Amino acid sequence: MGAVRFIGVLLGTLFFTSALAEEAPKETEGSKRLWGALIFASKEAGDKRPGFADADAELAATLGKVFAEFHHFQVLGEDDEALFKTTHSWVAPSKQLCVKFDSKGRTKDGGIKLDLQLWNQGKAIVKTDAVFKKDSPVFIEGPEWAKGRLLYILKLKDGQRATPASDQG
Amino acid sequence: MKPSEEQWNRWIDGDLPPEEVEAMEAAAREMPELAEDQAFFSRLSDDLKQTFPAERTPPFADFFNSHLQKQIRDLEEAPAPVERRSWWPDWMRLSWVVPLAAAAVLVFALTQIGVIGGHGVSGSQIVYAYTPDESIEAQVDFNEDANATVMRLQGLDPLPTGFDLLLADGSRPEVNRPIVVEADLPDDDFDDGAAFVFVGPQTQFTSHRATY
Repeated sequence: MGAVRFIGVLLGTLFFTSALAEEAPKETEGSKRLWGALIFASKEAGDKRPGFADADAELAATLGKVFAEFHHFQVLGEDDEALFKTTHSWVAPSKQLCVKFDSKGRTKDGGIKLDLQLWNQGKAIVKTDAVFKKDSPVFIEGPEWAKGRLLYILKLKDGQRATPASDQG
Repeated sequence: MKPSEEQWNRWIDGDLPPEEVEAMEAAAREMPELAEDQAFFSRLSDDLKQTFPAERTPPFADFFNSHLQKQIRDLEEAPAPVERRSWWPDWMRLSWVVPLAAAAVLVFALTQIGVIGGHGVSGSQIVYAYTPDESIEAQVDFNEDANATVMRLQGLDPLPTGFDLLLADGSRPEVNRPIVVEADLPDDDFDDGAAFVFVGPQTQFTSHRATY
């Protein structure tokens, strides 16, 4: 009898605490946006592309941790789209290198499930199932271009249209 | 009359009353084997009685008595067993405390390893990656320092320097932004999973179904 009571209390407590822990936060429609940017990464200052702004210091520092072989990061273009359930859309800072995404809803821990396709010159070159979390970007290392390499950044953001990630100053 | 087995045993042991002894002796005259058996077992009984006397005085009786009395005294004078005091507080011995504590420990462990609570994987993940072109390979890893998931595409052909990326012009959003079609759709015709396709110069689908 003692063992039955022990298991009963144990299971009851587990169920209760698990339900509390996994309760998904509620947010309003379209409060999340998928932000994307096309980055040109180069090793030498002389290799930078004229007419494009440097990435802001925070983004450049983050990129530098991942792509340590490059020292300069310029934002060629950026775009962002609101996430709606059962909606597919595009984040297209470049029409030659862009991302199509399908929103698949939420995970229990606050992530957003997305089917992503990276398109290069009109062809899907990679298809992925991804879970995006706040403050955790996805970096895609793209093809070489000019004297550097193209990078694609995707990041989950809150609220309205994102502010530019470039440093115009 | 044939005697019963009980009568026969009591006859051999000499426990029968005289009137039954006479009846048994009369039966034995008619059945000589009974008389022979009785004679044999009677002699055997006499021999046993002579070898093992019925009463025997125990040797050193005083010694055994005094020894038993001493053991009784020792038991009576022995100190009562002291109840061992548990180092657990009394309230922790309540029936519900131990399972509750065990559950708390288990929940804590599960949340720490990410089975519940979603704290196990804090960053974004690429669960699956497929490259239609076999010459291209996608390698995915997670960079802890940047808290970022990194997908490296190996095998992509370099783009020529003069390649036009057809960048979106941020200074003219009305030109480069997709056309957004907004429509109020009746709930009755908009079940979960339904899709409305709008075809235009750029691809853009907007539903009015609340998502988050």
